[in-house]
Amino acid sequence: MRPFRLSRRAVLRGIGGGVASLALPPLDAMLDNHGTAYADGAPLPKIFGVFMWPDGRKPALWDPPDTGTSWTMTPELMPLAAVRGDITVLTGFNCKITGFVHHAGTVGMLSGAPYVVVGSGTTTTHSQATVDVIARNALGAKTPLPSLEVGVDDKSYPDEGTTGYALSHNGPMNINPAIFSPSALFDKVFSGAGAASASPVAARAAAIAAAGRKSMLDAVLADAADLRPRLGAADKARLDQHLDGIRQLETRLTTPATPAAAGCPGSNARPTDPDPTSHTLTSQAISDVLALALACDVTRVFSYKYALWHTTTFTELAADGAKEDYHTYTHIEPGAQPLVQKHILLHMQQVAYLIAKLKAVTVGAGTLLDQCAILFTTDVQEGLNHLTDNMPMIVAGRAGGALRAGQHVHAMGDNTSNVHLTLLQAVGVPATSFGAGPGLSTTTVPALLA
Amino acid sequence: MRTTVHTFLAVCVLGAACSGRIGGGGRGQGATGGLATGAVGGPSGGAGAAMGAAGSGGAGALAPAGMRRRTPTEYWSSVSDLLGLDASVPVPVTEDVAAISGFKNVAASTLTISAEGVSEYADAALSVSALVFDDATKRAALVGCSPAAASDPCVRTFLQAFGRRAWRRPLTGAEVDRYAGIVASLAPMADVWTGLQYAVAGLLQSPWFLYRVEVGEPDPTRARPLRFSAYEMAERLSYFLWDTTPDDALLDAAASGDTLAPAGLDGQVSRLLASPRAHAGVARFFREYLSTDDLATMTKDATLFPGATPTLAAAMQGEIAATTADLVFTRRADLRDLLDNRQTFVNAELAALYGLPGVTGTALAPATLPDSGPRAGLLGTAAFLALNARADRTSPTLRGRFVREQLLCEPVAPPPANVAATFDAPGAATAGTTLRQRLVQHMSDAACSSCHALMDPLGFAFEHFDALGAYRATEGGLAIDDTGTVDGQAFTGPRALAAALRANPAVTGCLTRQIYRYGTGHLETDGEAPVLADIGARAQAAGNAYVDYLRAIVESDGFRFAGGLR
Repeated sequence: MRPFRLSRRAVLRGIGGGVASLALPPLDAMLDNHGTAYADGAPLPKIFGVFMWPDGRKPALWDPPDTGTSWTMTPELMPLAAVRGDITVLTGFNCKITGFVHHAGTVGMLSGAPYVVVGSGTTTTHSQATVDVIARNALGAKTPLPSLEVGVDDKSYPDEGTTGYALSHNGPMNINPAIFSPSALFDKVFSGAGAASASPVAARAAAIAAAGRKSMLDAVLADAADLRPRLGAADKARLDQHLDGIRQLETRLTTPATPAAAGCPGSNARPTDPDPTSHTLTSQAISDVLALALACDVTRVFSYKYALWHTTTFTELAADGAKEDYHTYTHIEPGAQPLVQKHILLHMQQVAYLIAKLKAVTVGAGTLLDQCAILFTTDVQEGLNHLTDNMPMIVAGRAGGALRAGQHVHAMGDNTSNVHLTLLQAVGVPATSFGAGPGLSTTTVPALLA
Repeated sequence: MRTTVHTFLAVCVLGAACSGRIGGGGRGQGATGGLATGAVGGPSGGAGAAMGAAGSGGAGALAPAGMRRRTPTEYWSSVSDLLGLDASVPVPVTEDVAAISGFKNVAASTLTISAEGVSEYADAALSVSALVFDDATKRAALVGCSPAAASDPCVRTFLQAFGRRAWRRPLTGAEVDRYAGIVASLAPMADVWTGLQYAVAGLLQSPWFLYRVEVGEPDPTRARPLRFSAYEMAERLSYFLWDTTPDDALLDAAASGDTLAPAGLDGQVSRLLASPRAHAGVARFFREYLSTDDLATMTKDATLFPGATPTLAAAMQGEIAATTADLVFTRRADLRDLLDNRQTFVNAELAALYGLPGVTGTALAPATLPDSGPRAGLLGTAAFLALNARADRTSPTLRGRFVREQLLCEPVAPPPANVAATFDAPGAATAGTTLRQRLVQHMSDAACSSCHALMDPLGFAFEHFDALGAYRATEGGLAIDDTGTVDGQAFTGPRALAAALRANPAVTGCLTRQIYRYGTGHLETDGEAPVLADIGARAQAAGNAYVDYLRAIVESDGFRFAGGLR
C-alpha cells in the first residue's frame, strides 16, 4: 500500500540517537500491507487496563435480558450504545471472595484473592498483586513507563486500609498510588516534553542537575546495599521494591523520553486541571491523557480508579442535593432510588467516554481499542445489598484479535477470576491461573475468545 | 479483658453479621504482630480465626522489629528540624492513605514505598535542599562554614554532623566518603555549595532517612532475642514523645549508652517531657486516636445546621488538643479524667454551640462546663458528637460504636451482605417516632440485632445532642429517652455513662493499649499481654497520669526489646 516502509528501530535511531525506549505511535509506513502488524512481522502492542466504578448497578435496569450479539439495550447501559459492537457485557459471574462488605468485592474483583485484615475490623489490604500488576510484570518492560495508575475520586478512608484507597496493589500494604490530576499525569507521561531550552545556560544547568541526581541516586543505592543484609525477609522485599523505584528514576535520567519532540500526536497539549470535584470533567480529562499515553506507546498497562465505594461528595452528587457521599445514598435512598440510578448512568457515561476515546485513535487498519483488553467492573452487585454474586463486568476491545466483542455473555455463577485470566492471556501475559483461595481460576471464558 | 472481648463476640455469632470477624480485631482490638504474620480473610477459614492466632508466638513473645516507613508527619517534622525550615517543606503525600486502628505509624511499619513514592521523595529532597542552599544565609547557618573547595575539611565535618542528625546515628567512614564524593564530583562542574546540596538531598532520600531502621541487635543478656540499640532507642523515644527526630543531646545520650538502661531512659523521658516539643507527641496521639483530623472534611446539612462552619470544626479540633494538653501537662491529671473532665477550652463559636455565656473572640479560652449540665468529658465534646453522626441526624450506632471500640477495645462487626438498611433514611422517617424508636424496631431483625445490641444502647445516651453536638430538649417536639445499658448496668444520659466507664477497668486497659500501639508502632501481640499488664500496674502505682503511661511504656520490655526480625 505504501511506497516504502521504515522499520520502527530505524525511526528510533534517526531521532533519538539510539534511545531504545523512545515512545512513538506506530506510523502507517512502518506497518505491513494489512495494517495489522509491523512490517517486520512483530505484532502491534496489546494493552491491558482495569477500571473500577463504585457501588454496583441495579441488575433489573443494567443486565440485558437476552444474550448473544443482538442483546437488548437496557436503560443503565444506554450510554454504551455507540460502542456496543466493541464490548462484551458480562453478567452472572460470581466473585468467590466474600466477607467484609465492599472489601471482599473490591479485592476479589481486582486480585481474585482474599483480603487481609491488618488488625482492625474494617482495615484491610490485598493479599496478592492486582490484575494490572500481573499484566505490568509481563508487559511493562517494553515501554518507558511500565504502567500508569490514574484516578478520579481521591477519597482516602484510612480506617478502610489500602483496600479503601488504592486500586493497584503489588501485594499486602503495598500500593501503586493513582495520579488524580490530568496535568500531573501529562507531566509524568511526557516528562520534559516542550520544557527543554536550547540556551547554553539552561543546558549547563540541566547537565549539572543530571550529574547531581545521578551521583545522589548512586549514593542512595550504595546505602541500600549496606542496609539490606541487616533486614529480615519481609523488609528485604520492601527495600528491593524501593531499589527498583530508584533504578527507574536513574533510567529516566538517561532516557529523555520526549514523545512531543518525536511528533506523537497531540502530546504538546498539556491540559489544565478541571474542577477536581467534578467526576465528569476530571474523568474525561484523565481519559484524554491516558488515551494519548496509550496511543504513543508510553505504557501498555493501566489501572483506573474512577472511584471506590466511599466517594467524596463530588460536584454532580452535590448538584442533586446530596449531603453525603454516593455510597451513603445507595443505602439510605428509599424506594426506586432515582438518585442512585442517575449516578449509575453517570458512571456508565465515563466508561463509554474512555472506550470511545480509544476507538477514535486509528492504528493501522483498526483502532487503538482493537488492541485493548479493558475490564470495567465494580465492588458489589448492587450498592443496596452488598452481594458479590452476579457481578457486572464490561470487557472493551479485541486484544489484537484475540477477543470477541459485541455481545452479552451470561454465566451461571462462574468465577469472576475466569474473566481476568482470559484477558491476561489475550494480551499475551503467560499466566495459567489467576487469583488465590476461593477466587483461584485456571479456566478461561470461551465465549470471550475470538 | 480478652475474656470480655470473647463474650461479646459470642453474642455476635448468633447473627450472621458478626461471624466474619471473630477474633479479627475491631478498631480497638488487635492481635497481630504485623503483616508478615497477618492472616488471609475471606470465606474459607474466615478473616478472624487466623488473625486471632497471628503474632502470638506464646506468652511473653515480643513483636518483631524492622524497618518502618516514616509517616508524612514524621517526614515533615524531621526535615523541618534538620534544615531549620518551617511550613514550606513539601510533604510527599501520595501514599498517606492508611492507618491501622487509627494510627498512621502502625500502618507505616509495614507499608511499602511505590515507584511513584520514590520519585516523590527524590523531588522533595531536591526541593527542600534547594530551599536552604539557594539562600546564602540559610546555607551558612546550616553548614556552619564556607568551604572554598570540596577538599575543605569543613565539608566532611558538616556531613558527619548533619548525617548523624538525619540518620539518627553516626555515619561510618565509608558513608562520609560516599557523600563527600558527591561534593567532589559536582564542585568542578558547578561549585561546592551545589555539591553540598546534592549530598544533603541524597542523605534525605537514603533508606536510612526515609525509614526508621529499628532492627535491633542481639540482647547481651540473651533474655530476649533482640534489644533495640542505643541509637534506635533514642529514635523511638523521640518520635513517641516529640513526633520528630532526636536532638543532639538525645543522640549524645545514645552515644554513651544512656538510652539502653531504665535509669538513663528515665532521665531522658523527663527531659523530653519538659520540652515544648512534647506537646506535639501528645497531640499526635489524640488526633489519631480520636480521628479529629476528620473534622476538617466533615459535612453537615447546611439547612439544618447553618452554624456548621469550617471555623467551628476547627474549634472542635482545637478543643480536643487544648483539653488533652491541659490534662496531660498542666494538671497531670488521672487518665480517666478524660471521661468526666469539665475544664475545657472554647471560643465564641463553640461556646454558643455549648450554651456557655460570656465567651467572645475566635481564640480558645479556658471555660468550665457547669456541673449541673449534661455535658462533660470527651463524650460531651462536639468533636465526638459531630464526628459520630450523620450529616442531617444523629447516629446512636456510630456513637455507641465509638465507645465500644475506642474506649472498651471491643470489636463490632460491619454489617453483613444482603441487608438493605434503609430504615433511617430521611424520607423513611415516620411522623411521630424518634430515631431511637425506629432503631429499636429495626433491631427486631436478628441479623442486625446481634451487633447493634453492642452499640445502640450505648449510643442512645447521647440523643439529647444533635448531629452537630448542640443540646436539644426534644427531638422535633418528641420526648427523648436517653436511658441505656452498658454491660448490664443501666444509666441515664452521657454523664452517667461516663461515670460507669470511668469505673470500668477495661477502659483504662484499652487506653493503655492505644498509647502502646502509638508508642511502639505495632498492634500488641498476644505474647505482649504480660508487658501491657505490667505497664498498667506501674502507671497506676505512679499516679495514673498520661505521662505515667508514657514512662512505663518507654521502660517496658515491649519498647526496648523485640522478638526477631520482620
